[in-house]
Amino acid sequence: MNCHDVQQELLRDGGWVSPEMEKHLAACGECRGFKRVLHLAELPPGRAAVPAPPAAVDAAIRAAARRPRPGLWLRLAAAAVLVLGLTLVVHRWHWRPGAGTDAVPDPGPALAANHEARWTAAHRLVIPIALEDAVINAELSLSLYEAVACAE
Amino acid sequence: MHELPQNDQALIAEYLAGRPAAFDQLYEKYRLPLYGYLHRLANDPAGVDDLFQQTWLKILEALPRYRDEQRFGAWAFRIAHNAAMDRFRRRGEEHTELTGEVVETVADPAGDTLGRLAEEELKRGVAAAIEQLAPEQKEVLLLRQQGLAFKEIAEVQQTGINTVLGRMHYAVRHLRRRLAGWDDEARTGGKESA
Repeated sequence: MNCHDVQQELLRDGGWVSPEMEKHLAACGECRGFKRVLHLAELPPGRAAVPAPPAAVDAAIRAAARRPRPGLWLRLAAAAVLVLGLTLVVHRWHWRPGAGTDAVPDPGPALAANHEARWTAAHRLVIPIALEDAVINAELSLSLYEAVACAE
Repeated sequence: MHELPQNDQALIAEYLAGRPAAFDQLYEKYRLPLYGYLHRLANDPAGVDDLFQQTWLKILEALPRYRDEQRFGAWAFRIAHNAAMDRFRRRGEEHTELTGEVVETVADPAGDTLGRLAEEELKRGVAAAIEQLAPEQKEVLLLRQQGLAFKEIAEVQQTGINTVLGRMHYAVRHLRRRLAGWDDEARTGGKESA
């Protein structure tokens, strides 16, 4: 075995020294020095020698770990769309034409009741459509979330 | 109170299940090794905090994709390595390829000064000599100090294991030359401590 072979073997993980290597090392100061320096170079740095990150950096990283992950944001966005859709439905359900407009003269109780009955009948058709829109919106949001989750 | 597991994979699973305390434990375990590695690799005290933070943000982002095929430490060092390389590239620095060029050996005026150094001083001498190595060789040594196997270092550096072994061999020979005046036998009375 020559110096190059011995030094290559010393590098291998585990650092097993064969009898042949032992023999070479006993006779070769260069390889003994190589072995010693290798040992020192691989020693983990002492705790005192390792600089520590500033407390503000530690705090920023720990705070980042506590922020919701993007997947969660998408879930929240999907939920928000759903809530928005439902709000729209509720709003349409409760809205009455002319409510809060002083400029329109009071048609009288009989006419108002008649108008309300006609409005409700007309919007019974619209409400299911609005509900359907909300469901579609929610499905689209969930599909988007799933697509992004798959891409991740 | 919920007891946190000790191994990295279980800590990651706990964190992803919504327990940030598990991340704190993981962070505590790796913050000094990663910071020390980046500090010495980047040699840029002003920029290392940013680089370190960036590394952890990338780790957090990639954590849901982490698979146990690789030790978490090796995986994290790879992310840190990539962040450092991006930084070098942005700053227009070349991460010097191994060319066989030897960094100038600092002459030891006293000849055997290093031979008289105590163990701690010797370690400091080795640490200082490591700073003079070409970046790839230096990185191999820094990662070895963190307990990474050569195979894992090859993955971090995205190169072959023989290249990594070559870098290590070259680095150790260089350190030996840098510590030229040091006579281990004179210091230890011929006993090998390795």
